[in-house]
Amino acid sequence: MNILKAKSIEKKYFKKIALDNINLEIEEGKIIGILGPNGSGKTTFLKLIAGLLRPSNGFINVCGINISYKTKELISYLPDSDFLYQWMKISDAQKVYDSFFSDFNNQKFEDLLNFMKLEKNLSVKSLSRGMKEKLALCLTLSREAKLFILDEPLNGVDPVAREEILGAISKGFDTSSSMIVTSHMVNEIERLLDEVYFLSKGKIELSGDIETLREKNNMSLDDLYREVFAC
Amino acid sequence: MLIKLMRYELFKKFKTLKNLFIGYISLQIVLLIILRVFFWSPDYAKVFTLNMNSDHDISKSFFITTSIYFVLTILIFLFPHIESIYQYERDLSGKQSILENMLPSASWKKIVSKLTILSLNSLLCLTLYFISIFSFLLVFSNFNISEIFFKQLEYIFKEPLNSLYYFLLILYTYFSFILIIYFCIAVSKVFSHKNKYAIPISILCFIAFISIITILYYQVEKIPIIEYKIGFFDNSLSSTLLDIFVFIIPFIGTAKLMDKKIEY
Repeated sequence: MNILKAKSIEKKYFKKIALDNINLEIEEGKIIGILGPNGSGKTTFLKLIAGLLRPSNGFINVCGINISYKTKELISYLPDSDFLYQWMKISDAQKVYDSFFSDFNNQKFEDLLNFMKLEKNLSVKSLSRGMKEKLALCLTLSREAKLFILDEPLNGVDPVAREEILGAISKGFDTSSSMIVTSHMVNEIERLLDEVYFLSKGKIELSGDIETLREKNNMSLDDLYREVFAC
Repeated sequence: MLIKLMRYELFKKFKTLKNLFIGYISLQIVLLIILRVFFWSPDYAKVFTLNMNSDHDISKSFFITTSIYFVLTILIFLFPHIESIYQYERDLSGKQSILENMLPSASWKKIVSKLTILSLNSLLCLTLYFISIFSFLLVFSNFNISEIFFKQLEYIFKEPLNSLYYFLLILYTYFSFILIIYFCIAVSKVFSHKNKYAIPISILCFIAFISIITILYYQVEKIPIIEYKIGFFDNSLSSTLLDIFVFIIPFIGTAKLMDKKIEY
């Protein structure tokens, strides 16, 4: 079963083309990596799926439903920036998610918080960047959504926190759903992925099953990334 | 979902504004105590009662402290409206706009919830405003202004239907005005999230919208259809339809722009 279907996606900002003819389908249970340098269109593509941007051409549907506020119930999105109010405590953020998302699992959230060593009475203002990233990830992964979208979950966090975040992603992923992850840190994220799309200047340069790509090119994903995006 | 959104808006307001309200009330109490303890004289009481012809010297310190008191009172009166407009702009293009726009709800419900909570916030601020004025008059009339106060209340209760009509009319006009501002902000956000462009666009849009409806009201008054009178106002079916149009168009327009055009 396809969780996500994106066909002929194009995104223009006046004359600038941010995404050009992107086609992508994600099956249930798969974790997809979208890799590419800064400005390649990764975040734009994820925001299109999350319904925060609108395509100039093409269509996207999630579980057969065209992107609208209704698909927001099916998608759990982790943005690449702070999105929680500074005055919030962790428990406030939990209340907001619990109230709006019927698939929010409080027990899973508590488990993930413990795993990430975060306390519910901490306020967002007092958290470091890495802790904010962890909190956002706990909230995102605690939903039982059909599609998880994680935009740069490893950005700005130290190596220990990165390991914890990768652990939480593995722990939080359910095979009845699918996941899209973007990152620059190919080495770290490689072990999570089933398929990968290399995005450059808004176009898919290379895509396929991780194992097949590794065997075919006889190199690791990191080496392949360097080869594809070498100047 | 509408109830959840209202609770969320209320929660946001409570969390962000509770300290401000506590601060305001504390400051006004302190100012009143200072005024009463240090500056009050029996002569002042005459100024603030029905005996308005009294002529007394007022000290500079008294004037300054009273001015601070009334500036704060005016600010609390204006606060909910300005805060609502600022918060709406932030909800469309601030850092936290993503959270707001990840919520699985139609935009019209978000607008209704914002207006509902704005009306509660306005009611609270209006109450504080009147309490501030009343407290001041009470303190400086030496607790002897009951006559003025009850005369005002008497008017409200003598004409309850008229009072209710004026109240609803003010509320409706107020919501229409706020919706026009929301609409203009939404229009500007379709083009840009940068304030450098968005602010001039929203101001131009506001001027254009107000000009159009002023011309329409002028035209409608010239050609009234089915006239009737409510309270002191002459009404007609055409002007009532225009009132509805002035509310509905920005409401639907804002919701559509949020759903279909604005990017976050």
